Amino acid sequence: MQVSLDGISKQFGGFWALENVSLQLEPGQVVALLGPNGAGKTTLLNCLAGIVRPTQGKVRYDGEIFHRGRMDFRRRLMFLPDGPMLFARMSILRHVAMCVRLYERPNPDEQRVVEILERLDLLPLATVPIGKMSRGQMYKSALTALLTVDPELWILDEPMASGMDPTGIAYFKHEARLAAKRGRTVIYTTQILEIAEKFSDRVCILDHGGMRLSGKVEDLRQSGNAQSLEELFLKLSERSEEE
Amino acid sequence: MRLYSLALVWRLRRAVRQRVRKSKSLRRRARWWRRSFKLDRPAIYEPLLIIVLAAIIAIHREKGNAWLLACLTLYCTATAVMRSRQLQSLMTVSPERLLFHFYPLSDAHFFRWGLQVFLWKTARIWLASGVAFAFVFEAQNEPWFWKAAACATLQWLVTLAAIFALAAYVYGIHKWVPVGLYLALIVVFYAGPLPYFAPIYPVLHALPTGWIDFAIAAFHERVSEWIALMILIALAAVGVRTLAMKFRARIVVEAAPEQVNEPAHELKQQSMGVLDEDAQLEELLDEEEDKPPRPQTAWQNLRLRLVGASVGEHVLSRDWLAPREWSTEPWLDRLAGAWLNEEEKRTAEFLLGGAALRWHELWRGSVIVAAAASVLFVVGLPSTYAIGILAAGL
Repeated sequence: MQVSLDGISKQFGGFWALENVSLQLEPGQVVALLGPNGAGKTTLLNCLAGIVRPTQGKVRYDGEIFHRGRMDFRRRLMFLPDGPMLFARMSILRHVAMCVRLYERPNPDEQRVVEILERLDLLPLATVPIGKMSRGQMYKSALTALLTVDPELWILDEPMASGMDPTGIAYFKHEARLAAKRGRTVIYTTQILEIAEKFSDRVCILDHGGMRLSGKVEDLRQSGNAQSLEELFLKLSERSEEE
Repeated sequence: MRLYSLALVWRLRRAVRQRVRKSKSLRRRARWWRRSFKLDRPAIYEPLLIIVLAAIIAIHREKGNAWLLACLTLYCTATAVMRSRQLQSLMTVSPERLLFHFYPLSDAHFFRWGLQVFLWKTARIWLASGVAFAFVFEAQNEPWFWKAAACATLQWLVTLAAIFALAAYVYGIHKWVPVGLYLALIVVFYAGPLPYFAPIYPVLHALPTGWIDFAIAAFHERVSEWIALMILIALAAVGVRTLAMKFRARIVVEAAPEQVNEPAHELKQQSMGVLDEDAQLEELLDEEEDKPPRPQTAWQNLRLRLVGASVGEHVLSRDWLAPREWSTEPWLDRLAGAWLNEEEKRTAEFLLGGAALRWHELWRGSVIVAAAASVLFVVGLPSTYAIGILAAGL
């Protein structure tokens, strides 16, 4: 799915969380959204998923303007906020079944679901109410539904800081890579620059609501004359403070 | 409307069980989780139910129908007030409303799902009324089961009508009102046999759901008088339909933007819970600046409230709603369109969630059912069966 943000701005009260952000995402890319706290990363993801409406600018999917009423597009994307939105009294299996129905997918292969649950170490919890689980287990429950539905656009807020254990994070990265090979687009936010550097095809750096840099990791490093993404990020931060 | 396929859940559960059985460690852990976090509710309802039934049997012998129907009236009124709050919350600012914003479920489908869930939760009104009417009719030598079922259905419909009617005014009703009514119910229930309580029973019949009890108490021994009851049933059916539509049209009238012709991003939001995004955000941020640092969970809650505000903005913007040409609708809907002003029309369109108006069909259905029931009486079908047929039709 072709995703484009055309001059997106979002105002909360008198505060501009995003200002004139433009971005193009191609199918088959894993994109990391970086930036200091309060830079507007989550707001950008919310705009992408149709949770909040941009004050200015348009979100386009496959060239068409996207808004919350476009159920056809909303069934092609899934958004996992850092605190996943789940029914506390539902079990993982019911949540998966709900997503399958809401996303209008054919019934999944049971063995595939069992495999996902096993890899995420959720098999013993499959029939336990989600509300009784830890934060990481909740996130993995939401991730199970995402992997089962396999939408064209994966939007994830802080998956690496979601409380998932290292095995879960490794499995997520593995699945995201496979998904990108199938032509899916994965966009996620993170504060862990090493992961972003190694795992992503492309990195976007937001600061104070504006897009500071966007491109392939290697290109950005060379253009910024930095050895690593961390060094580049720190240079940008210093420059931003001076400004 | 089901959110998920039960067949799929069963199949997935079976596949999971098969896999878990193969591993001793998985089996042990699964057993631990199941035992530790079962969703069992505390077993207080069954003993409570037995105590209430025993009290009904004991006191009913002494005080008769008037006491029992007075208690039922109080119960239905208290439930109507309490449930109207829940209905209003469910449809506008509930966690479910917020949660489904993250899934591809349209607003129209959410309203349908929410109403179904709500109606299912009100089934206990039907059960309580059925038990009460069973005691009322049990002393007669007539088939009391059908009578009790039909009257319970009627009572349920009347209570629903009260709920729908009250839902638009919940902000004007103090929270202690339903609590007070439930306390009054307990007092009347257990102090029923005392002689000085008898005079208040007729007073309770004046409550919104009490007139049906009064009619039954007055007419149930005279079969011919059931015709009057049938008219009341038909009126109740029409009342439920009308009030439901009225509820749907009014529930967010107070929240509708003042200047709807302005561009969406310039809309001045009206206050309704979390729906006033800008003003609320500024207020929250001002408050936060003066407070000591908050724990992460509190920030998370604040963030959710802000997302909720955006959800509200979207709901009020109605940009997902196809415009409706009222002048081309069937006669009843056209008539309604002429009666409503522009703001009320927009509100009605919003609450119908883009679904076609069906008021004329609802009206026609009600007329046909009422006419069929009247014909059954004219040809002399036993009244109790006709009540059952009518109740099923409704």
